[in-house]
Amino acid sequence: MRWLNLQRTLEARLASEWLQDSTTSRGPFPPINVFQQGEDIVAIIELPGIDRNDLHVHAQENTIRISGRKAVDFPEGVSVHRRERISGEFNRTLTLPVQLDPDGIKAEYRDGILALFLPRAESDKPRTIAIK
Amino acid sequence: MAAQQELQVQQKREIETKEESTVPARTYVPTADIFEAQDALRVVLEMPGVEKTNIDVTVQEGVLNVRGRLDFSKYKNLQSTPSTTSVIMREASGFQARLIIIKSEQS
Repeated sequence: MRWLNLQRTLEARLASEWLQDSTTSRGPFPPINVFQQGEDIVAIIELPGIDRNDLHVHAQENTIRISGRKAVDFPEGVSVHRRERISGEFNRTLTLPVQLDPDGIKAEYRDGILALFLPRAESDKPRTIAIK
Repeated sequence: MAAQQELQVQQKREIETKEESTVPARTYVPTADIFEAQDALRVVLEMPGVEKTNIDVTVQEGVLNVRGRLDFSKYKNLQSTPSTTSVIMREASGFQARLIIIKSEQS
């Protein structure tokens, strides 16, 4: 049941859409895919063109927050033919339905993909009970 | 005073590849910025997930063709989460490709 809430967060659209242009928006930025690797969770986030200094990942209890700034800079005196890349600040929070082990969280940013490895807390893992 | 607009994810566009492919793969269209400086035409493409060694750039008859291969093999051992509708990368590979037509000054 708690996983359903996560799924809703991943697919969420902003509540009021009337201020946005309806052409290209599709959910909060950045897009995240959440997978399971055994008992642990892996989050794959698409973040092309981010400076490492402008990227922050915070973990608190079972919440992960990804924030930062995406800059698109043009050199001086150029004429722009086409502009498609978006820029601005982003701030996305993901609440996971499992308890995480904060010391084991690993983040890797490579080729425009931020990969988060979120291990599950030992106390949260299911335990087999021996039957006497 | 303009309010700060929240960043939105752009919908990923897929293209139908006309050529025959031996591997089931999706081709996505990367977002591009094209601008012209004094010395050259600059094209910047956002292709997340593509390694440098997997990029192919060709220019032929005024058409710039950029093709990057996505390697999903590292996702092979990942399972989807219990709410079964999350995205799973079933295919072994995918592409990010874009064709840009450059109008040359010479006839």
